[in-house]
Amino acid sequence: MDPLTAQLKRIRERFEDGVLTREDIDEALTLVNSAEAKHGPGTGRQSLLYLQAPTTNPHSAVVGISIYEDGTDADGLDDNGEFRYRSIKEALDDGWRIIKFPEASLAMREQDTYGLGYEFVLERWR
Amino acid sequence: METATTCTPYGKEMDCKPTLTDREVVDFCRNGYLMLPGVVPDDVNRQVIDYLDRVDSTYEPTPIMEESFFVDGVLMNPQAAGAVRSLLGSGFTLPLIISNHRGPLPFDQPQNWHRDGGTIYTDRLEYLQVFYYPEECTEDMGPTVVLPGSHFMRNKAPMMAHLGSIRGTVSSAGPAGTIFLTVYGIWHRRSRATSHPKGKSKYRNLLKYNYWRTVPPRRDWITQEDIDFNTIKFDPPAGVFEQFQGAIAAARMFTWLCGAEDEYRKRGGQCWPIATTVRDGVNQEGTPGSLANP
Repeated sequence: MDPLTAQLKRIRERFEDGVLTREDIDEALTLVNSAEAKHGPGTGRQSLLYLQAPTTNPHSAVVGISIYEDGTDADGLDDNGEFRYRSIKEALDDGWRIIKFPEASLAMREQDTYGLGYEFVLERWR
Repeated sequence: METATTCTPYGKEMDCKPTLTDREVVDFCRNGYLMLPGVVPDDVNRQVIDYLDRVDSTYEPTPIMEESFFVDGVLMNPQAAGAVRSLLGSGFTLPLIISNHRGPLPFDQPQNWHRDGGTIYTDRLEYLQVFYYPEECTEDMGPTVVLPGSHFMRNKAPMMAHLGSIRGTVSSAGPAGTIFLTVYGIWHRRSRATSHPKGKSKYRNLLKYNYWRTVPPRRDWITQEDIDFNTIKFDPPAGVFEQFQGAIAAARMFTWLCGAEDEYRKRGGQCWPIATTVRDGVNQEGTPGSLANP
């Protein structure tokens, strides 16, 4: 159980026991702010990762990469000139989360190829 | 009396011997580009650089076409013009505009991926976009990189601006006198330049110009009697296509170049050109008659 959920359960119990305090609620608010900073907008900055794959499988190897994050090479290469993430799974394991799945409407004309494969957009907050 | 128009080379119809074989024309259709490293002689390269440094350092030094060394040594360079003649037929026209992408050194941001403005997607190779490095362009000077096979991948240039590294890209870095021919709509960008100013001009000069077709297409390049169009691969090398779609597009372009457009019947499934494992001498379903085995 995550700390915030645990604190909320504790608040309910203390409310039912008639011993709830302002400090109990403040502690929950602190946990909310901490969670936002780690997982959501909060006061952090959003980083974007674009990965293009040959299919819509979210564990695909990737054929294209770019990263928009302060202090990071936008071409998404490491010091050896290799892709920083060879697959979408590697990016997920590194804390990125998918915020947009490939645009299916671009694949509706079966005889034509649109864009660079199937593009996943991912984010993380720093 | 000759008019100024007839005296100048702009848009003039030209001819020369074709230099590409069937196989090389197929490869051009698959890749969307052809590299010709170091084909222009050094003395011509030096005259071009001198012109770009002393006479016209603008984005469009088009009057360089009025210099015979440029027309004879670059535009009608036997290997480059021979490839142009192979792909556009006899009577191809010389350019109307010469651009120079005179890139500063260093330049720390790569250019956005793009197709040049005005691109249309078509099997019809009516014109070629050609690039020329008058000085050596090393990898650290920010050479143009191309994505092989991308001339069949539809996209709008403004929607490519977020793309970064792409697998399968090819650098055009090469010695002085390198020329490369492209299908106009191929995806490309200038790469990051980490080099400090070098070379005589201290810039990366890259001239760009177009040749146009004036005659209907026909297979009048260097034909190969022993080639079997049933067993050669038409797939572009980049792995970003849906299976077979790139090969189908490349075969359609090749068929059009052969003047056999009306013979191409894509009925679906394992039609030509995708069933390349047929037995020797056997024609695939749908192989155009003039390209089929007897």
